[in-house]
Amino acid sequence: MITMTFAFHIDGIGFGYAGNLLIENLSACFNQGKFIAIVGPNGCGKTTLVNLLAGALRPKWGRIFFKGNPLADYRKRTLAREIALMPQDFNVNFPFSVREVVMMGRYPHIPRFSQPSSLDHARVDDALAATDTTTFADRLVTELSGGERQRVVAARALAQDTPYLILDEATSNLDIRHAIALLEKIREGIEKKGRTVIAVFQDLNLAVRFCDDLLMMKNGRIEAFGTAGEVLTPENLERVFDVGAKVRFEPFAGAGQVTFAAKAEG
Amino acid sequence: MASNRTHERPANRAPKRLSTAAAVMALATLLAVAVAASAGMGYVNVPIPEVVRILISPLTGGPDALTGMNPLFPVIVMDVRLPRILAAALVGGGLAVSGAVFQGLLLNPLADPYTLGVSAGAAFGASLAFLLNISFMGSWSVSLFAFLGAVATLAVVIYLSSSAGGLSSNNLILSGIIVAAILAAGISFLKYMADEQVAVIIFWLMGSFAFQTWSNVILVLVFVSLGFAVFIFYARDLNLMSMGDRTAASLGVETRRTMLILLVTASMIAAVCVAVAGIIGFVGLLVPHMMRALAGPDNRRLVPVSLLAGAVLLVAADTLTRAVLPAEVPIGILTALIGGPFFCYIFRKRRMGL
Repeated sequence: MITMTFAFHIDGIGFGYAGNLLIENLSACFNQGKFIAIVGPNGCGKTTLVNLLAGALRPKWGRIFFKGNPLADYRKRTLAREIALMPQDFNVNFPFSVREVVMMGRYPHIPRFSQPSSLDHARVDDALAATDTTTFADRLVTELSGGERQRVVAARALAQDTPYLILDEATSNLDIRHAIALLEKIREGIEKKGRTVIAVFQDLNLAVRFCDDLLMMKNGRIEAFGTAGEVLTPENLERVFDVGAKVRFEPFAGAGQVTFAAKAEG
Repeated sequence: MASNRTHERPANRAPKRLSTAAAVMALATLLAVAVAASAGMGYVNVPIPEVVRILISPLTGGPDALTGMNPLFPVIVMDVRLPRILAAALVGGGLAVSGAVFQGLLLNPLADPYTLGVSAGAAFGASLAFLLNISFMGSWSVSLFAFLGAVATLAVVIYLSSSAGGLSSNNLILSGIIVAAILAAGISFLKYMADEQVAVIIFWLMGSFAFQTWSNVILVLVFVSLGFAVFIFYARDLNLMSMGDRTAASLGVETRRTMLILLVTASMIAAVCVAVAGIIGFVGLLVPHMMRALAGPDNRRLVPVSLLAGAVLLVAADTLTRAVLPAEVPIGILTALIGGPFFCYIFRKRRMGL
C-alpha cells in the first residue's frame, strides 16, 4: 500500500500574543504538487499561517508536519533548500545591488566560504529574466520603487529554486502584467517541476485563475477549504468577507470570477 | 528637473566598487605607511628610514642591525611610540568592525558600537573605580571596571529586549537608549560625588592613547582578532540578517543564535576598546558608513575593509593630536570634532538617502 505523504500536515495548531489569538485550533492537509491559495479578510491570520508554515514562527499549540516529519525538527539551512518565502515587501537600508540580493537566494546552496558556481549564476539570471528585472540588475535596491523591489524579492525566491514556495501577497504591489507573468512562471514550476505553492492573496479573481485549491479563513479559523469551484460561492463570500458577491464563469479569464456589491441584497 | 536626475543616474549604472583584494592591499599599505610615519613624528624626530630599520630589526639580526644609530631612537620607537600607535590602530579597527556589525544587525546604518549602551556602562564602571579609588589590580583596575560595566550593561539590555518577544532590532535599540539614559544619570551622580576626582573622570571619559603599554596592545589584539574571525565566519549570515529577521530565517540563518553571537562579540570588542582608550566616538559610525559607499554593503568585503580603514583613521587622528597640534587634545574630542561635521556633510549630500 502506498501512503501519500502530505506536503504540509497541520495538526491542531494555535498561535497568538498575550490574549489575542491569531490562529485557533487549525488543522489541514496540503497535497504535493498543488497551488493552494489562502484568502480572507484583513487580520484573519493568513500571514501568520504562512509564517508558521515557513518556520518563521513556531505554533504555541499543535504541530506542523512537513513531508511527514515535524517541521520544528528541520534545521533552518535544510529548510531553506526546501521552502522559499516570497514576502509582500521588504525594507532594505543597505545599498545592495539587485543582483546581490537575488544571489542571496542561492546562499543556502553555496557552502559558507565558496564562490557561486556557474549553476548559481545561471539560476540568478533565470530568476532575473522571469521577473523582468534583468534591465536593472546592477542598480541598487535602495533606489527602486515598491513594485520593482517586490519583483526583486520574487526573483530571490525563484533563484532559491526550492520544491516548495510560499507567497505572502507577493503580487500585491505589482502591476497586472507583472503579476500575471510571475504567477504564470510559478504555475509553470508546478506543472514542470512538481512544485508545491502556498500563496496568500488579497485579489480573489487573481487567486482563482491560478490556484488548484482555495482556503478561506476568518478569525484564525478555516471557513472553507476545497477546489476553487467548491469554495468560491456567494454564500461563503458573504459569510467571510461580509459583502454581497456574484460568481460566474468568465471564459476570458478561464476561471470563475467574482463581482462584489457593498452589502448583500436579500 | 526630473529628467536631469535620470541623466545623472542612468538606469544601467553599475555601482562603482573596488575589488576586495585591491581595497585591502591599498588600505594595508596605507596603514603601514601611517604607522611608520607616526613612529617617526613627535618631540624627537626619527627619520623614516631609521624607523623602518628599527621595525624590521628583529628580522634582520636584532640589535646588531642598529649599529651606528642614535641609541635613543630604538627606545623611543619601540617602547614609547609603537605601543601607543598600535593601540590606536587596534582600537580604531575594532570600533569600525564592531560598528559595521551593529549596523547590519540592527538594520540601521546609524547604529554604532555604543548604541546598546556599552560606552555608558564602561564609563559608569570606570567612574566608580575612580570614585572608590579602587586599585587592587594596579593600573588595570579602571579598565577592568570599565569592561565589567560594559558587559553588565549589555546583559541588561539583552535581557530587557528578549523578554519582549524575540531580539528584535527595535527592542534592542530602545532598551539600549533606556539603559544608557539611566547610566548617564548615574555617571552625573558619581561626578557630583567625586569632588577633586572629577577631573580624572572627565579626562578619562574623553579618551586617550597616552600611557599605552605593550600589555594593553596584546589585550586589544586578542579581542579584536577573535572578534574579527567571528565576523568573517558569519559575514554572509550578517548580509541576510541585514535584510530582516524573516528573510534571514527563510534563507537558512539560525537567526536567534546568530544575533546573540554577533551582538555579544561586537559588544565585547567595543567594551575592551573603551576600557583601554576611553570613549572614542564617530569611528564606529563613520568608518563602516564610508566604506559601504566605497566597497559596497556585502559584509564579507565591508568587515575587512572597515578594520583597516578604522585603524588608519585613528592612527592618523592620534598622531595629529600627539605630534602635530601644539597641545594634545583628547582623542575622543578630536574624532567628534572632525567626524561630526564630516558626517553632517555626507548626510546632507546624500539627502538622507542612506
